[in-house]
Amino acid sequence: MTSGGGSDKQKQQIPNTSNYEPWAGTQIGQWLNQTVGPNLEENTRILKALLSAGDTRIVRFTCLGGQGPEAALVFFEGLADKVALEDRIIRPLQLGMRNGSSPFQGPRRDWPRRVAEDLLPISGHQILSNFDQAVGGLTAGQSLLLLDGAPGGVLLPTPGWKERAVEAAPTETTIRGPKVGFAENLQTNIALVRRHVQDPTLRVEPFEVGIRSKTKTAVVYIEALARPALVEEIRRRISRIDMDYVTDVRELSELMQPGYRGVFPMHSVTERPDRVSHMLYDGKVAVLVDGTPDALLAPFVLVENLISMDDYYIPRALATFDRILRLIAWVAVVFTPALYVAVSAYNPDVLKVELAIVLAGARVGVPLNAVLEVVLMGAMMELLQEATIRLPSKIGSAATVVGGLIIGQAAAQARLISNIMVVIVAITAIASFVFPVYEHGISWRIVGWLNVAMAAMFGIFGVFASMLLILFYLNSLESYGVPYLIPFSPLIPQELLANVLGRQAFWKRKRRPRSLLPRDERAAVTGEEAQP
Amino acid sequence: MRVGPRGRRWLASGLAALLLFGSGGCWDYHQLNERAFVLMMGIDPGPDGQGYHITTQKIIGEYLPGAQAGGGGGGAGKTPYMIKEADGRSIPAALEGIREKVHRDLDLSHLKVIVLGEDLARQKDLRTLDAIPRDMKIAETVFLSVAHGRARDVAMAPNRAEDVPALYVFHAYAGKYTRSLAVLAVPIWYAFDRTQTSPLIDTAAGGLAVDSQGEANFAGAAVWRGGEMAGWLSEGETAMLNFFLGFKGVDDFLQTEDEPCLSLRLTRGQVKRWADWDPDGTVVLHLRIQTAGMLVASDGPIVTPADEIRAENALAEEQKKKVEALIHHLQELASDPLGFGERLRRVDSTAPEVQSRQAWEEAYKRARVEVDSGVTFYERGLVR
Repeated sequence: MTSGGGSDKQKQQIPNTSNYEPWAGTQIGQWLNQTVGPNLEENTRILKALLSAGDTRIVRFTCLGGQGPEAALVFFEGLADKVALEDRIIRPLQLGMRNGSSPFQGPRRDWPRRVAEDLLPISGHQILSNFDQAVGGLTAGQSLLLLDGAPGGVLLPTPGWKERAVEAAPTETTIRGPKVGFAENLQTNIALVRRHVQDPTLRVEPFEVGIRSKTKTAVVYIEALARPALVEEIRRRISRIDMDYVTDVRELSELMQPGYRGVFPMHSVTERPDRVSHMLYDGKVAVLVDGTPDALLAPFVLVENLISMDDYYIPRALATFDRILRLIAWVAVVFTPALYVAVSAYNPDVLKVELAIVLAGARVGVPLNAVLEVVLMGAMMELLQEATIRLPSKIGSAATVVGGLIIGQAAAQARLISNIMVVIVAITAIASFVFPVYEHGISWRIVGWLNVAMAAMFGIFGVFASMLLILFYLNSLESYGVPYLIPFSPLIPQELLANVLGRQAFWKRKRRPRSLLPRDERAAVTGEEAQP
Repeated sequence: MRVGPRGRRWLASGLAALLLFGSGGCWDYHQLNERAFVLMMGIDPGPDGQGYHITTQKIIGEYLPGAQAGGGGGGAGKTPYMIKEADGRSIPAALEGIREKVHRDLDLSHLKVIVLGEDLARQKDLRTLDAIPRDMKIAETVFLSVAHGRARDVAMAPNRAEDVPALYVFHAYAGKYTRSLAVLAVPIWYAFDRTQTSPLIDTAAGGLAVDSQGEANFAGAAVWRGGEMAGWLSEGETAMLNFFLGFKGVDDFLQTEDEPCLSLRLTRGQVKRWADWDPDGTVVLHLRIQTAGMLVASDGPIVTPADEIRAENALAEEQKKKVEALIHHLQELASDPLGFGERLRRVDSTAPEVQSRQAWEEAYKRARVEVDSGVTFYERGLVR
């Protein structure tokens, strides 16, 4: 089986990065390893050298109205809230003593801690001892307070950068149910998940990924439900990432599966907290990355292509109907252009006679053969889809209409393509939008192109052979120990009916999907179904 | 040489690829509009009785109403099919002659009806024609029929019910709209299988003729005696044969010809046939037919159970007369499309009557016919 980077061979190739220091042997490395000493002049000089950037600010002042030590407050312009710096750090330090006792008494190494704990109305401070910690905190948006005569310093959270507010999920829209989508802030996203999952065993494990970027990442799971081996495997894969920077959850997804080159995703990526919470309750593990409005979910199986969050918010019969529609859409995306090529060029005998006659009539006078027709129109639709994403929404919709209808009709009238081809392209394009997650639609469009190539060479036999190859390939995949084709292979009929071909009634959902190997399969107190 | 698991995988992939190349490939590549779809093929004896004369009805898709046509003119008013004919010493040779006239590949994959001319059917052994489906990529489900007269005349005759006459015949055989029992739809696999599985079974095929309005239409059925056509059945006989062969019809009526006048709309029926010997050694052909339906017309009121029984008996008697008429006609023609001979052979394969075709024909002609006929009304409809 080929796992998403999980085979033994691949495991051996992953280097251990825990002792890797990219600045070893350089002046920067020496400074970073250096302890923050009591000399304020020396400390600010080193910091200036380390952070030689135009947006670094160092404010120096004297504490307790001149009776205390001199202090320096270091921060990045734009990342720190200046009002908070003034009101909650500088002013208390200049003016006040709390409870009549000065924090600048006793051993000098305790001054930073005592200032932060006794004087400043800011929680979440962090005492540091070396410049590596200082630089890490500053680049993460914290402010650094140094005191003359006292070794070490204190990092204070004073966030003041601008962020996008929590808004509706733009690409995974639903008609019913929650509308909220993730934002770019990791803490906000964790809070969004917590609001949905009020389980005492919800665990949030922080990680830093990227040797230089130190991107904050969180592994989120419900301890009572997630398989321990799955959690451990995700921890292992994250901790072994040796890249110097990671900025997005999709980058992380690829880095977590080194060696995997397939078109089918090994993780699902979602921007919906409610989807994450559903999956966590099924025993999955989520990974959130700071700066990304998406969550990564593992393991991922193929049938999730068909599941939309809307299914959980509409009546069961409608959800089942929608899933069948998505299956039809899948067939349309994967097979329609290929079958058109196959029957046009090789196997008209499989068509009903009337349909064969209509197709033959439609193709009269068209200079391009069926393969070129499909390639031309398919490529145009791919271009349109790409253009629609890049263009602003108002122009984008116009581009779709112009491209799809006007150009298609014009091409048909000019006899460059047949009218049937316009219908086929329209069916395929519309069907590809039915996939609840955008990337999955792209994967299957690529398979559709492979089928077209095989149909162009071998007709219907080629399409069957191509799908057999795809089937073999999919059957060889697994995501974190879960077969990719489950519940088709290995076959679990109950889950096939309950989770793929239809949506199980909530009152009947007494057990979690066995296919995901949850730690606790029970989804209800009793295993009995509710009686009317 | 030992082959490891990896090698076996490559070997299997190679074999699969080889099979794929063998199954289809770019040498079969022909666009739909580069093919000439033949829907009907008439086969007559060639000039001076040598070889074959083939008449084909080829579709012109662009001239069908509603089809997309080049230049914006469409195909309004144009005949959407083309007749091409050619002679040849063999059927493939004659088809090659037609291909040379249309300069496109003749695509027989959508051939729907093969019409044999009456002369050909009477002269040629049907068993020699089974090369048609085997060698020419023709579907086994093509319908076989025989023309009263020349197949060419039927293949060239128009029909106003459909744009393409071949489609009219095909749709009637396939039961797309309705199918009368008087239309005997026999696919070629059925016709050829029956002629080859046992010498004691004969085949039959629907008849086609050019009617008084000059259109191709259905006309009874042809029956074979061994490999050669023996004669024609009337429409009524065809309907009864159809019933016994198990083909279903829609809106079929059973109507008395004598008084009282009764009409029954048949909705279901059961038939059974077998053969055995009576005590004096004569072969007996047994036919049991039980039909049920809805009474749709009668001369007088049918109110009491006695009225019902009387009406049922009258219809059963009518039914019996029709069955007997059919069997007697088949006996005269020495044609056994209902397969009594084969049924008798299965009872006793050592019996002298089933040792040869000739012996069976003799016994068949002399055989006594016993018909058990029954009719049931399960619903009374409008009573006149």
